[in-house]
Amino acid sequence: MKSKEYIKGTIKTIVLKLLSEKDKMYGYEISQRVKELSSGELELTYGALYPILYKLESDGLLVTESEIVDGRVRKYYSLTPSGTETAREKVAELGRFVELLKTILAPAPSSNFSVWHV
Amino acid sequence: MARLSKDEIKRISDDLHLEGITFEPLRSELIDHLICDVETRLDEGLGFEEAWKVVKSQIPTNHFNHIQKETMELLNKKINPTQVFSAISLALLVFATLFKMLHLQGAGYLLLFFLVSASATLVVGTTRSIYVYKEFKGRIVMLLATAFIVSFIAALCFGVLKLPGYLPLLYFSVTSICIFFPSLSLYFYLSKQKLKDHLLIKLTKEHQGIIEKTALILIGFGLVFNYSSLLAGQESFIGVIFFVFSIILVGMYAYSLTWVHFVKMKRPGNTTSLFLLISSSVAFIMFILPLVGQHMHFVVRQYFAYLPGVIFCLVTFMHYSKFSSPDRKPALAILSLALSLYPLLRLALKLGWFGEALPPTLVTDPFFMIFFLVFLTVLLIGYRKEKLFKTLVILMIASHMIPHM
Repeated sequence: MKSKEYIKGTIKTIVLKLLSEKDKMYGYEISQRVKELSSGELELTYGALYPILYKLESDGLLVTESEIVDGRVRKYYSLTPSGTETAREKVAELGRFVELLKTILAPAPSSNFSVWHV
Repeated sequence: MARLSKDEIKRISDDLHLEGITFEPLRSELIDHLICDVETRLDEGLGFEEAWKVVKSQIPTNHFNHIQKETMELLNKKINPTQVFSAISLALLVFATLFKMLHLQGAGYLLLFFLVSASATLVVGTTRSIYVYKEFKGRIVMLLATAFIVSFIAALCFGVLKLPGYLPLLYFSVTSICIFFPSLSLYFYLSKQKLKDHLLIKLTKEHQGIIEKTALILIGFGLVFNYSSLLAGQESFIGVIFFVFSIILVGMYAYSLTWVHFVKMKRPGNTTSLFLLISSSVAFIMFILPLVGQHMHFVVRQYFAYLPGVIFCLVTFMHYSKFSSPDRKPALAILSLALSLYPLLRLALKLGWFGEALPPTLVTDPFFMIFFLVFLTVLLIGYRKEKLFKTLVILMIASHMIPHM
């Protein structure tokens, strides 16, 4: 599935949504969760994920904490109160957008007059 | 879940370092991500080498550098004061030119404000780079380089305004530049690949486009300034200041391109690189010194003014003929060599080597001026993708615009 061109504008919302369902997550975990939920159809690349995580953190929507796991530093992300609020808004917005898309992409009603010929 | 050994983790970390990731928080996070990815594949039954190969194969070339750049830009997107100052500088330049064309009073002052604003842009841009790229080496070097360049621009402003302290400031800035930049060149030459992530190297690599555009804009405004005066029947050469600035800008940039080459060398001592170090540094000093050489002997001054151009042509010739270009480009090598005849011709005419046969007025002849400018412009457009050659051509255009020098 050619998902790259569609996913670009939704990464922020996806990340916020996933974090709203869990206390804290780290980068690899987020990317694997997206893969898992989409049955491997969607993939968040490093290039797409990390700049967004840093941006959300600098915007005050995420906070981070580092833990030493297996001798290396692991950075966990979690939502701030304003992040939780933004996540709720963004998910609702995206939901509405998806509904609109569905309407647009649904097969157009038949425009010929076949019904009259029955 | 499978766990990697210390050596295997080090291997991943080293590979990431080679990719140029220097922003530490991002680096440690990417290492963790890559290790997790490799460990997942180990669980699927692959060996480390194979797993690491698979993970690496999924990463496009230069991808990490791109992530780092994008992260830095996103983090600093809110306000970019450098762009604000650049816009102010450009506006001042446009107004100064319009005032000049319409023969309104105050064009000189506007030009002066432009210089002040351009210096502020440089200072703000440097400070911002130092702040944004906290993890890079060379931030103090960057500050010093900026301080010397700004002091040089300040000296020029003092000169225009005939303010006291002009000469001491000029001597200080030129001496500092003549000592600092060649020392920096030597420092990069001896670095044995340890300075690949130096801030100056990073900025040199990333800012070619903006430097070229700035130089071409300055040349364009210089032309408007000079020719609007000529059309009004005045002999004003205020536009010369633009050409001089673009020569200094492109000349310094060309010099810094040698540093990009030096930091890639495994060890110093190679004859070609040594030649490059010596010739570029000599050319740089010769190019800067006449600015303070009012009492310099006329003949010496002419050599100092024109030989750096010849040296730059020869270095470009060497680059395209054999030594550092990945593939030889004979046409560009020949063109670079042929272009060296131009500064040589200017020198010969200044020193009267051809006597009456070729008078010094040849270079100010309108037909020759226009013909050679068109020729250089064609070269610039035709070879716009050749980094070094393009820099050489811009330098030639700027010096061609100062026939009375």
